[in-house]
Amino acid sequence: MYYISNNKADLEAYNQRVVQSEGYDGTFTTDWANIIEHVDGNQFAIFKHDNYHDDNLQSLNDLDESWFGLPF
Amino acid sequence: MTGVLDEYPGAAAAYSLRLLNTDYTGDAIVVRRASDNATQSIGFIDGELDTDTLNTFCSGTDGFVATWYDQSGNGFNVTNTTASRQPKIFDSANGIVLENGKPTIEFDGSKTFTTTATISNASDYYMFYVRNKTVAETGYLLHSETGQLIIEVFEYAAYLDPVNSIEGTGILEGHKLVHFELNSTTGGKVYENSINTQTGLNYSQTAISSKTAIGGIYAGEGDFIGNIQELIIYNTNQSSNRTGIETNINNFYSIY
Repeated sequence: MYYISNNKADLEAYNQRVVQSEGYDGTFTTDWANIIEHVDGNQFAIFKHDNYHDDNLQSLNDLDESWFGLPF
Repeated sequence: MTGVLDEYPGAAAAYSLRLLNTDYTGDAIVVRRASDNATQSIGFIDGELDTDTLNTFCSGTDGFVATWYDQSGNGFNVTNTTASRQPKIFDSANGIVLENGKPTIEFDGSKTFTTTATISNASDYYMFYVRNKTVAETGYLLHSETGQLIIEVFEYAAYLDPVNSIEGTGILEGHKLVHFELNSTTGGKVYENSINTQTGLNYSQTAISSKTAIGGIYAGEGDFIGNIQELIIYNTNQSSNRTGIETNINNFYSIY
């Protein structure tokens, strides 16, 4: 499941919340998940951690092909 | 058992869960355990992954690989510093992920290892890898952004040509030793379990550099579903060594 938002900062904050709560060591693990930008540039997504919820973010079960600019 | 790189040295990059070169003194992998996110390097015992240490470190929790060390001596380690994209090697319920009794790294469609290093600017490549693709027509096993070199890409064997050429037919799922011979003079060939299954694939010079990923594309989509145990990349002609390399690999993994 993913959280999506038009505001990248919302998802960066979610990532930081997971990083700090999980205590990643910063050497071998720095982030919970990468923020994915829709190819149209207007939407962002982040993979949801099972243990961390944010009711202010919209959830999506999966990202369809429209999200990605595959190389062919 | 003699390491394959002892017998056939000169790999540009080499990743495995067994010791490939007896001169290599480093570890195999760095593992992050889910329970507390602590990490530990796991090395080798008698040429094989130190499973005792791995079992102790990950007991009762899941373990994920943060770094897969390059045993070629060139230092092209591949990593993923993003927790959700680190492939799995230890399951809390079932222990070490195994393929035919040997440890393996599990890619579930959202995992990759990456590097931004220039592994090689050579024109020709001779790749050997052991994988079990568990879902048909998934990809990518290897992707390098420069020239868009892609190995195993959905229903095709590869994407080999900078002028946008998808080549060959998909390599079926299952536990296989796969060899790609990418020769810009004679074209591309595929061998599965030492049998030549595809030939005459269009291929021209493609560096392995910029953004390179194992198990998917660098940006994080199109990911491989299955297990990978070993990947060796030569940038020198290994045609005369092919059967010897394959024999060494198969003697360890007992694939065919």
